[in-house]
Amino acid sequence: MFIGAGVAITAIVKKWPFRSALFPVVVGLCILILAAAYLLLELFGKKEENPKQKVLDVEISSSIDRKTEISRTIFIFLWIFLFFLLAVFLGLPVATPLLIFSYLKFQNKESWGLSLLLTGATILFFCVLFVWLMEIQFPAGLLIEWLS
Amino acid sequence: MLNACIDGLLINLQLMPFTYMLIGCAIGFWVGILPGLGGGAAMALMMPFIYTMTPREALPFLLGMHSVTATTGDITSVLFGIPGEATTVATIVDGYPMAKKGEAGRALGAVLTSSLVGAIFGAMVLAFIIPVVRPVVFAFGSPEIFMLTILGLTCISSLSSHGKKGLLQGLMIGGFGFICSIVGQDGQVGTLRFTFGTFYLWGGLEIVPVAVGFFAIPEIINLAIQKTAIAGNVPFGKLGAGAIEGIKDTFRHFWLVMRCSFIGSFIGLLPGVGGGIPQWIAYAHATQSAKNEKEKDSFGKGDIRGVLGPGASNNSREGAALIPVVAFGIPSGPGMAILLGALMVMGIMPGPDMLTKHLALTYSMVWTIVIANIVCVAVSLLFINHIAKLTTIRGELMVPFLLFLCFVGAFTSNHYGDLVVLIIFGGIGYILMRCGWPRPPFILGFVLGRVTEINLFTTITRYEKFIWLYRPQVIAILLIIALFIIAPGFLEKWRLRDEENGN
Repeated sequence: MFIGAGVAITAIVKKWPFRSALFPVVVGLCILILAAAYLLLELFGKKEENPKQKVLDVEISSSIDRKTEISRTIFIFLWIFLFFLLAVFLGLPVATPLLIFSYLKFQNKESWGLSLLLTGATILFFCVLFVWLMEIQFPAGLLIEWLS
Repeated sequence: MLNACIDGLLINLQLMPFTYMLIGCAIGFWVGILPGLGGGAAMALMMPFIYTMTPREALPFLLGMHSVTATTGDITSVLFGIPGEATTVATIVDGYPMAKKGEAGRALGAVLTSSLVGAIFGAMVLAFIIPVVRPVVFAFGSPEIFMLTILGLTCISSLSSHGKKGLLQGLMIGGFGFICSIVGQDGQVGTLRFTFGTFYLWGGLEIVPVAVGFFAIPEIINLAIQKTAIAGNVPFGKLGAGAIEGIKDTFRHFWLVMRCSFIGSFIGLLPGVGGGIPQWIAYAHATQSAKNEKEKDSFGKGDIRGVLGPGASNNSREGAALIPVVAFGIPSGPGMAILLGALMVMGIMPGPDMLTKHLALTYSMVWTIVIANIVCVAVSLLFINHIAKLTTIRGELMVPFLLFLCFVGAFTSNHYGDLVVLIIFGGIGYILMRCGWPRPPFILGFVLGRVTEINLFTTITRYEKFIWLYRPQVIAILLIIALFIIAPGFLEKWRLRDEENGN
């Protein structure tokens, strides 16, 4: 993928003036060389015992079984995508309480009381911080704009 | 210099900066305690809030938050054997056995006090090195700055992932960050670069949706997958009584705490060295302080020195890690890379300006680290029993709230494109995290991309051919880059040889 990216970058920038093309060309060529070196290491290098390298990052827990992990991953991605759609079509001020409540009630299966309490607290937080203190004007969603 | 130092303190003591610092501390406090959310992700999440703040308010807010996460991360490490932060793993080795022996209060008292001593030590290192580093910064021109950005990227790539492949991965990800940074209309010539016919991309990619997506979204996904119940039903009893004994322990082993603080500060000074490294070196040093075999055997089973060493080194690193950021714009990890991005959002460029025009602001960072840690440790010790209960909150309850913060925070240009960028970079970040590829080099490449491009162009046009490569400072930086490329390979070989000998 990185080899493809490197080739694409160097090909795209050909038409640009020198000033604009210099940096992307240098970076693109470097990516190309690095990716080729990586590919060579993958093909001919010594196989490592643990293919997942230890990185300076969050450690992903391996205590959950694979099936549960996959289903939870799909669900959280769906929730994120749903929130995105709600934000675009209804606007963030409407999408936020809808997401908080529906996630707590239907995904986490929390009680009505806790779901409503946390949704109310989030609305309060949203109104005080973003609307009242920071005076951010959130655009109405596409659907609301169309309806009005 | 002294005036700037006093001005820095006065900035911090003004009502609004002080209030923002306290808010930052409160957020950092939670982030540190709750596993699954790192200091870097929290910093990314809070970046949108700084748009309405002045630099004098934003820096205490962000730095106050960042500097206490390592302190409170030790609490869960001791109580439940779960690190609140990646930098507090070593505390578990002796802290958790102490908790199991019923000495949780003592371990917490010791780790919090040693953290405070370490933080003050690191802040003092930062304060004293500023005048020394000034002439070095002034001797640097565009070739050196260009090379420094490459050095930063190499350091963070070589140390954020192990082995040759790790280095290559890091550099490729950094290169991807560079490319993403140049998206939009070129400021000099006006060429539209990688905009794909989208008007939204003309202005380039905003750092906030990119950073929030890249760092916060993957961690939220991870939190939702793990459904982390931090403490479960683990009993921890009354902790307050032992805490005083732990404070006394810090002063009983004061020189060990100072030596470990020095280790943390020294490693913090090296650009690109992550937070996970000093804690283990400090722990190893603490074990060496054992006078005989019997004492040595006590490590790993609940020795107070094994708690004091990592606690001090983690926090002393924070202050010293600011030096490469402030002076050269080279961050030591994701948190510092995002802080660098925040500085740029506020119109402050690291380098000479930070040591002349904004010197008081630089010193205010020193004071922020000191004050934030004093407040954090005092609150932790006073409310230690109540804080322990915080860790019983289920992570899954936080998921929708964090998602909401991400979406609202990413909405910086009031365009739905911000949300698309957030989701795309969130997806990329998650894939990289799952595949074990390092994420920090990307944000460094993204933040430094424009600076690198300008300095590369100036260098190429100002100096004939490659003559700039013969400048002594450039050669020195090249040698350091070579060292960072070669050293991890040798270290890995030595480690493997030691393991073979051990077996």
